[in-house]
Amino acid sequence: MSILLRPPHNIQPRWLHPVAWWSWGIAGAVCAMLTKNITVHLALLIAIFLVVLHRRPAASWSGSFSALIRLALFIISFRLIVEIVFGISFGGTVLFTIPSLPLPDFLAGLRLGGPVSLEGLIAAFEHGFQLSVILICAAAPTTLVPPSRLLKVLPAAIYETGVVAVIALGFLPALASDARRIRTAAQLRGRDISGIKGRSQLLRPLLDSALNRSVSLATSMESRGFGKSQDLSSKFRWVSNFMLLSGLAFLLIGSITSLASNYALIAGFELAAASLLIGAAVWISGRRRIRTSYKSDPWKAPEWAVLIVSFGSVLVTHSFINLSALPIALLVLMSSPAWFSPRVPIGVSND
Amino acid sequence: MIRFQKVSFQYNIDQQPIIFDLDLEIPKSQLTVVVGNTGSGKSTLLNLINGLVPTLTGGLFSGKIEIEGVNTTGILPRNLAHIVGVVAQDPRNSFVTDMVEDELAYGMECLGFSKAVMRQRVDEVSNLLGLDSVLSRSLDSLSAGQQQRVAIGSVLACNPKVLVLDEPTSALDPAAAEDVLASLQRLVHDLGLTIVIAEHRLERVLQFADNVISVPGNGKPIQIGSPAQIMKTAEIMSPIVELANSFGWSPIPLSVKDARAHTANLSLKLKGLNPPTSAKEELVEVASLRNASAAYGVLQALKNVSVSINSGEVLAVIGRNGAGKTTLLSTLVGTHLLNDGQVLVNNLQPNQIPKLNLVKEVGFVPQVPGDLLYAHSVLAECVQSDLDGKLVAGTTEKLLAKIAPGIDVFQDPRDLSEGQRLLLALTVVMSCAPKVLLLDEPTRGLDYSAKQALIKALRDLSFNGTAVVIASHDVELVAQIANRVLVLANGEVIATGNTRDILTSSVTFAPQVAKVLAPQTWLTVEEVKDALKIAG
Repeated sequence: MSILLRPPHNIQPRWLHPVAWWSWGIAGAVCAMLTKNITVHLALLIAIFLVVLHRRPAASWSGSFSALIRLALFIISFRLIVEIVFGISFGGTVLFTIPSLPLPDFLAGLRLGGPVSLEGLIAAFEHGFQLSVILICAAAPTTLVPPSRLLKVLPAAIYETGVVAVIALGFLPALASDARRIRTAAQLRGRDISGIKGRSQLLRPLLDSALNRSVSLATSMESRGFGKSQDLSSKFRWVSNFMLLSGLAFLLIGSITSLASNYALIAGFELAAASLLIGAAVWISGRRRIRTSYKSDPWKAPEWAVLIVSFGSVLVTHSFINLSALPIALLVLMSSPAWFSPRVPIGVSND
Repeated sequence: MIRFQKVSFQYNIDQQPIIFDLDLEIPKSQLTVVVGNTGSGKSTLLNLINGLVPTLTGGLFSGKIEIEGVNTTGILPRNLAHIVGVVAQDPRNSFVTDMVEDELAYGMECLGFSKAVMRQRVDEVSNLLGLDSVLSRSLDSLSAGQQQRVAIGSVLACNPKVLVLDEPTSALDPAAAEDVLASLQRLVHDLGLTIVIAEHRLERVLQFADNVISVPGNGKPIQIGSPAQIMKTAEIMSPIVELANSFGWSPIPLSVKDARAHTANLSLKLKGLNPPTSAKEELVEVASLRNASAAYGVLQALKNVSVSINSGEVLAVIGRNGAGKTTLLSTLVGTHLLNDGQVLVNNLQPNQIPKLNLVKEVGFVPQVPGDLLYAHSVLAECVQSDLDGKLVAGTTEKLLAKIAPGIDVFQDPRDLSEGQRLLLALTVVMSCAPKVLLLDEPTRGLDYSAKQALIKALRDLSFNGTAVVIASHDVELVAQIANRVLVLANGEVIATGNTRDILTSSVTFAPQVAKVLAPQTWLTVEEVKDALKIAG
């Protein structure tokens, strides 16, 4: 399998554009939402696995995929437990009966305990599985795209917020390794660190080291010119603020209008106006930044291919929702990036 | 270039000013080294240059700082980034991105350089610092020396006129340090950069210096002058300077080459005298590794290492960054398991000793001594240590008075100086009297006097029978304290033997005195002076 998945030799290892990976992930999630067919969900899951296994760099942030799987398993088991305890039994094959509690009249329609049917469990599993697949699809790009590359495609106005988020993400693995180091040191000192009281002692050195780390990072960023900006004239700032506020107002009015079904056209206009105003405000305030970008990821054939495959998958699912070959088609389409997308650069690859 | 005019600064209104009424001019296109003990105001002086002090720290500032005739007082550091580049002490904590190339470009992105210029400068800087082969690697995968050079390159790429570095070689082995300092000297010579470096290890940096600023602390005046001039009266000196001052060499030599020109007389006097040999008592083995191999994933960190550790002996494990020194120590405390071979401490396998009893057999002082300290005061730390070890109340405090006399027991451990904190951690570990004591890079960030205090404490411990194992690349420390040396390279033992034989025959790890007096095999100034005293 792995030989089949080697990319053609003429593609240099590089990062695929983050937008391409995100479109692929979101396409998968949309496909999973469109149908209740469990084989389709299974096909999607396998496709995602294949791509992640072949295009995941060996960096600390990409370890999140296993966390994602754990979350998915939790969702499925939670859904099953809910079904067993509260599920509405439609009869069918009763597997076992758990003690039931009579509920007061005003909770009619709810059930606590009682017979558990095979059909109910299967339905619950399928439902939980669908949710998990949607989640895994939508979050898979986080394991394929370095957070820092995602930053580069953010608009300038929210760039700084993005930086904070990315740094916070990078902090967690660092904190975990600090915690390991400090715990080992404490044990070697002969300190009993079992129990809550024991563990709470470790908090002090841990906070100390986290604080040191953040102060050094802040110092480094400040002295390297992070946040350097040119001042806009106050007139511009006023215009941008006005546009942002009125955009938000339109967004609110538009959302309320859209709830009333017979005003769809008006709601559409209002929402369009809102997005225009907010977009313009973001663009104007983004002009304050003097920041430039060193190497933006190129958008070339592999990116187009991933985009086409993503749109194709959604289109196919939407058009041929009852086709028996749909799972196979989706499996091929969604896993194809594992073959034609460029490999991740050397030095970070786990090949 | 950088002119301080009547600059005074204090962090706190009710403290003494750390810098008082300072008039100083740091000359252009030269390399200036700032020398002083911890807490003397060295870092403050450095950070005043680009305004990190007082912008980020707060404090009371008066006076005026000019860079190339422009008054920079009150300008934010970020708005000086194109003039002053600052490289922090630990490069790993200052990286913003995760790839070498992105990190080099980061500062330029912030300052709004155009794409074409950035491409060109990344290329130039990586060539200049020898980073072109690692451009597409992730920062974690680099060696410490490479990381330090990336940190320098990322600042240099913005084309500053001044480069400020705080202890750039403290985490580096001698060869990597030499590399970094040589790159810095090239920047001064070729590009006319003005460089200001704070550094404790004078033996490394002095030969590259054009000027030295001495920051004595305690309200004594800050001075600037030529290295020879400042070194004549300095309290902190490199072994070469110490030799020169003891034997009246003038002008004071700064490099090994210059010093060798003065040695004729001294060599003659030393002829026929023998360096002291450590008395060979009966060696009692207390710990050992036999054919030990250990790995991190696919990376083989130790290959077939055998070593015995004897009581009353100081064994130094030396080697370049990443040679496996720390791994060797971790296998001795059982935190890193062997793939093959055997490790014994007092005839027990360390990973099978219950964790809480381990400290009675083997003590470990980690690279960051603060990891061991949890209490709010030194005294509470001692009391807790007595409880942990089920010792008679007051044991630890008594030991502390011996190891670190004059320490204020009511202070918070976090307010202690780096050196005092290390001694406190050492005390806590030694309170249970383990037979083996392991120290990982103990002199990182220690100033001269703290290092002397550590050496004294370790000598006492080993005199009383403790087996001490130090992993270090501070060769001057090793020369002063170790009886035996084990050299690791890529996880393999490439040499082992007594300190004198190993250090004097090594190119990388020879201490300065050995280099100056070769082919005679003296290691430290102390030895030379003692031998002459005995000979009369």
